[in-house]
Amino acid sequence: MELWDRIEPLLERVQKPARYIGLEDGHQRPIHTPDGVSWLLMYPDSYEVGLPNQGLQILYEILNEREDSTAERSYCPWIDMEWEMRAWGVPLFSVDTHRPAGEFDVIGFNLAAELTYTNLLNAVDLAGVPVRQSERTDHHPFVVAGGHCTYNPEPLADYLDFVVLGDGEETVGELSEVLAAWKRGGKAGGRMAVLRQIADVAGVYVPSYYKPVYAEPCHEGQPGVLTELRALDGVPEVVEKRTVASLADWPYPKSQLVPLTDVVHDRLNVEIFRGCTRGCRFCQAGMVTRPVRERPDAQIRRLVAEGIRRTGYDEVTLTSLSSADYSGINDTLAGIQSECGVGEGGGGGISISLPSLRVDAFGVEVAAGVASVRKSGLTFAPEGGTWRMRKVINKAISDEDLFAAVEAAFSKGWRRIKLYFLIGLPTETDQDVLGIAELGKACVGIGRRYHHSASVTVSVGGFVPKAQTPFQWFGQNTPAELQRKVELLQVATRRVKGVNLKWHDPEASTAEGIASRGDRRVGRAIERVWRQGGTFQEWSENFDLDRWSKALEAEGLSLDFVVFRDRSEDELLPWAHISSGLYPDFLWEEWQDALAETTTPDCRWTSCYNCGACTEDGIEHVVGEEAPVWLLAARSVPS
Amino acid sequence: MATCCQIGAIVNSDATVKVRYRYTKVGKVRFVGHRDLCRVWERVLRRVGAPLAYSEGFNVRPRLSFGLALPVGAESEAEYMEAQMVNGCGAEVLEAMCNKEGRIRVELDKALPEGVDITGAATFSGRNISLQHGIDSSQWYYQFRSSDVDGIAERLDTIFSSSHYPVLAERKGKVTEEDIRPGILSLVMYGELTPHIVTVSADLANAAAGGGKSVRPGEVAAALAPGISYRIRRTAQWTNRDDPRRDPIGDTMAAGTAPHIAKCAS
Repeated sequence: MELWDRIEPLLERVQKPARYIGLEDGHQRPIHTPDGVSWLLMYPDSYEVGLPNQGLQILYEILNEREDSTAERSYCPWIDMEWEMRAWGVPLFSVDTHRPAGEFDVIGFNLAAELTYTNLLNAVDLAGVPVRQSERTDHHPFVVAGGHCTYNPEPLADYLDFVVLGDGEETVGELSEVLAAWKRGGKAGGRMAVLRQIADVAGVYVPSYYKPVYAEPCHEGQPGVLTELRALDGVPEVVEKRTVASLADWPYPKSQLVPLTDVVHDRLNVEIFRGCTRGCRFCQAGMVTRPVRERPDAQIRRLVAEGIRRTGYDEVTLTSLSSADYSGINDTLAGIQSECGVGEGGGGGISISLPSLRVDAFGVEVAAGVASVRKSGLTFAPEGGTWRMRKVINKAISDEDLFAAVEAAFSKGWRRIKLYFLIGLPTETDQDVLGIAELGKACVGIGRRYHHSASVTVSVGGFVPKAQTPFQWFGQNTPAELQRKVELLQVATRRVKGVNLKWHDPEASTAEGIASRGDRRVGRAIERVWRQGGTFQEWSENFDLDRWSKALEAEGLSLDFVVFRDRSEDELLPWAHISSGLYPDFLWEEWQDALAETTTPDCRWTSCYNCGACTEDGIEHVVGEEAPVWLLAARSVPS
Repeated sequence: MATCCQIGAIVNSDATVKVRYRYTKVGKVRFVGHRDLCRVWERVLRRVGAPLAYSEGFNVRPRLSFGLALPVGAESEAEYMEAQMVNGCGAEVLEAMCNKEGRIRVELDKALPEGVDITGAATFSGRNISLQHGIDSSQWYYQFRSSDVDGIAERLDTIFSSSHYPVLAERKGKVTEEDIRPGILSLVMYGELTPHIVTVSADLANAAAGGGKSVRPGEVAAALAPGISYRIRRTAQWTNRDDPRRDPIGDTMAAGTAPHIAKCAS
């Protein structure tokens, strides 16, 4: 049933109607068959934010290439469109063929940010599907999730049919096989039967087969902690993520979607490696994506050249968690420039950007390699304001390292630098906070030697402890404490020319902390916030912390219990049954090392310290060279 | 209008050479805004390797210019854009850009989004009528979602037979009184398309050409059928008012010819 005729009149009344029409370069309009498994892949935020998401684009292509599956895409309709849709009875639809979401076999969400959870619930509801997993029948799609937030999936456990942990490339194929067989067999045994089979697929967590047990509340106000998570009917006690061994086997996306309208990150993206072993203790992404798997240099160059040719973009981002760490980065940059450089007409040439730059890997050579057609801003993330603080978080970059990188950038023509920092880190003192301002000032001083209007944006975010990291036991700073630290920085940078201070709303960080380390009971609070109209919580105009704290209280919980409380060593963490491959002891030892200000080196270039990531499966690092470029360069005389 | 391709003579190799396209914007793509579509053109021209001239300086951009903006949601059979070619661009490249079977044009046709189709091309060197200021009027085709053909016909006659027709209009955020009559060059009832759709064609002046005050198609719609929703399509842009009328790529049509409606429902 095609909904377009009912959608079209609504588009004449809403903002940015192009969000809902599809037609992007690279889009697909698959034909769904009764025997095949149809997936609706959804990013639970607006079109502008969701379209560029690479994870969904990769799965979109893989599922459409298979014989037994098809995939389309969807994004959250904006508030005005949702109003129209509910008023006129138009359900959530795919943007590719405008098919109702409820007609798909699976609705798969990418969970990248906790504050999108209310959007997920809203989308399921808009699809006409019961929000609670237990209420769905055989006629409803399976509601599933993947992405980094799945490493603590418990807040959404009552709302998800199953969860895909880690790399999804292989898993979605295996799931399609199980679901296709179930459909062919007339859906024998119903939902619970096929979910039991799905629980046997490696890397897939089925929350309805695990029952939480809580202790009695011990003193007034404080709810009981989790004491047990019972695995039923023989499902695995611990579910471990999947890891693709070689990125070379997965050259996706082959046809990146190019939108007809404005979106974030509007350029060609090529993933150059997955995983990170720097071991920054606050970073969930780094902890859960080990080991490092680099894409071969020749393949990167081919994907960039073909991508530029196909899309007509003139900017490419080489994506990873720390792109300058790619072995042979200088050669790769040079190779890309020579292949895709200055075009026929004399104009053009392409601009390369490396996001997430490690300060100690960004030298003059890399700067030269990236400095091509256009110089947009350059971002470094020292994260800690003092050397001591950086040892605690295991991001062992000295002040001199930062200054050298910043000087390399300014000397090669950049005028604007952005520096990211966290406040509210474990063991942090006011001195550490003020160190942020000092670094900002010093960097502007360096910049002004090269250009009179050099500027440094100091961007500060409240630290939210995440599951599966060494800091998962640390109680988050309260918003009042974070605000006090922001004010310290405001005073310290007020009259400094060239330093622009920006900060993330401390109350938003607090709300993020709710789902970050919450248990299953938190889900009911999230549902409450959604039912009160709390969608698009990542957008400041819709966000109100009060709504969240009241919702928690209505469920017998509190911000104190979920967010600000330190966890003890013997406490059963709500995500203990989810494994990112790391030994739990490893995380606790890292936590102790942090408190002792001891650092842990990067095992790509030093010896293995047995974190658990490279285990019996035979997965290990895939790196091109034995030592990183910056380390080699340090041993030779700079040119 | 017939698809055409006119390769103008290149006066001398130093003159700037430009290619002008007439294109459609029909179907779902009508919801893509004007500026967004300009960006799509830029990307698509780069993708097909058209040897464009570029601006100099910090932000290097291809030298493209676009015609009058179409409101979001309106369709069109007559949109125009122009690309300046690189210096010394030869006849072979211009053929490739303009001719329907030309190697660049073929790629361009494939790369443009669904609903955006090139229906005519022309090249010229030196000066030509501006795509913004050189347009005397646009022709519009309305489909009103109404069965009140008599009521609309009556209002149409009233408007066209008056010498002044003031309406309240919003200009620059303020509500003012505007006389829409001088800008209406013609207003013709085409009757019922279906029992629920009434169609009207209007030729509305573009102020920049000095042909009287400009009037917005929405203001005329509101006067003809207040409160009624409608679909609208631009069917022509004219650079002159005499007979025959000429469009920005030199196509002509005898005055009074009914607008050619290629396809209105999709």
